[in-house]
Amino acid sequence: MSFLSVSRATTRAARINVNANTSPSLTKEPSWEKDPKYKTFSIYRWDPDKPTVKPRLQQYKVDLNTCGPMVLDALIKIKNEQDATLTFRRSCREGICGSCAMNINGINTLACICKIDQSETKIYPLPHMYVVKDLVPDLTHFYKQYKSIEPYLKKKNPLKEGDRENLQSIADRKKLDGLYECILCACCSTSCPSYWWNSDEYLGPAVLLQAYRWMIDSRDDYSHERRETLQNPFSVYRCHTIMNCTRTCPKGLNPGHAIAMIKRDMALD
Amino acid sequence: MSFRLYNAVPRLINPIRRTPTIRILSFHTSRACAFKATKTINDGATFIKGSVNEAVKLPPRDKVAGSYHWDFERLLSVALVPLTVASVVNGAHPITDLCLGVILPIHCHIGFDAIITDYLPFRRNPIVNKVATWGLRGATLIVLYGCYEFNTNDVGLTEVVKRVWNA
Ligand code: SF4
Ligand code: SF4
Ligand code: FES
Repeated sequence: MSFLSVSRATTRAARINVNANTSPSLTKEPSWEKDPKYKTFSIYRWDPDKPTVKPRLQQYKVDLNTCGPMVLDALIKIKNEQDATLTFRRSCREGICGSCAMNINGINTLACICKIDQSETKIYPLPHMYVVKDLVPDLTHFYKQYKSIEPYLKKKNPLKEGDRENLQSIADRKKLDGLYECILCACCSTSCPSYWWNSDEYLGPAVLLQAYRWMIDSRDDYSHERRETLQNPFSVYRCHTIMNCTRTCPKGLNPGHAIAMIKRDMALD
Repeated sequence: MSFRLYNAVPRLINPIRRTPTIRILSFHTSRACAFKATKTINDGATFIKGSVNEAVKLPPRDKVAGSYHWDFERLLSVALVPLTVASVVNGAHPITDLCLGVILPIHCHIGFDAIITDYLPFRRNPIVNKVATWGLRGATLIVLYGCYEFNTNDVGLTEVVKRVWNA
């Protein structure tokens, strides 16, 4: 603080001196703050307490020079400074929790790792989901689907006391790369047209990627049974390899490929 | 908020609070809203079935509609490749024409059937689904018969494509 006032004082002194010299190029006072650089964010708003009011886009102007670089920074700034009723989920702010998944300029992604660009930005909740409020979609059904694939290690011989841990070779561990990183943000599932039309029965790319993750785990004894439970026209086979899922995944994973592998293994079963 | 002494004792050794209690009110408000805004089966609507903690029930196992159907579909697609190539290179031949006249309609049938399953699923539109499915089956049968007639009594599929192509 004291540093600041001292330097202010010196600038003023400098300005007086400069004025005395009447040199036009130097008369401008060096500003301490950059000029505000405004950008408009249009954000989807819907309030469950006023169910008759239709959802709308609300505009917020944010000064990018006083805002962090990511869309989530802008959202937090808006919530802090302009409109405390704006509702969204976030937690880790570094792309590892999956809470802040939303549709930004038409692409499902994580707000916290999506850079603010210069043009106008439109933000919607994840498409084709029930909305709880504003940018918060209801993921209940998505989690219930995740639960249905039993996403945990299953052994035919339960461990007895004194058993060693389940070991895995380096090569077997490598098979899980590209699968275990999934944070279940639901970006991929909600970008999938098949999931839009049939999400009540089709499991969707995120859950199928996880299903595959357990099928190829060398420590799991139920690979075949896991595939058998998917033998029906809906759980897997609504995937038509449209590949929206892989295009949108903010973690750079390839759920489309995992589903293709499930189909291949089911064909060979 | 009143301070309760038993809250201070760690949960696992605490006789009163042994089981973790979850009260809806202790959640963030949006959580409470989730029950209000989302239709559950208890509301008489159909989106979320059962409680929030139950896994969804997968459709009944049906390998014929599952992987066998998929295998068959791929088999037909793969078979079409040499057949088409043969017809293009060699021109019309009764056997390739006959095969094309069978495989092409079935291949198309499976494609259209997938469209019906995607957009008019039985659980959403039972009547439209039935009408479309049987309409498609009828159409496929007629086309199969038509192809057979055309191949046996007329110039055959390959020849007609050739003529249209050169017309
Ligand atoms: S695969 Fe990617 S987009 Fe899909 S849930 Fe996992 S991290 Fe999210
Ligand atoms: S590849 Fe399959 S899961 Fe992925 S978007 Fe396409 S249909 Fe959906
Ligand atoms: S806040 Fe955790 S992924 Fe964005």
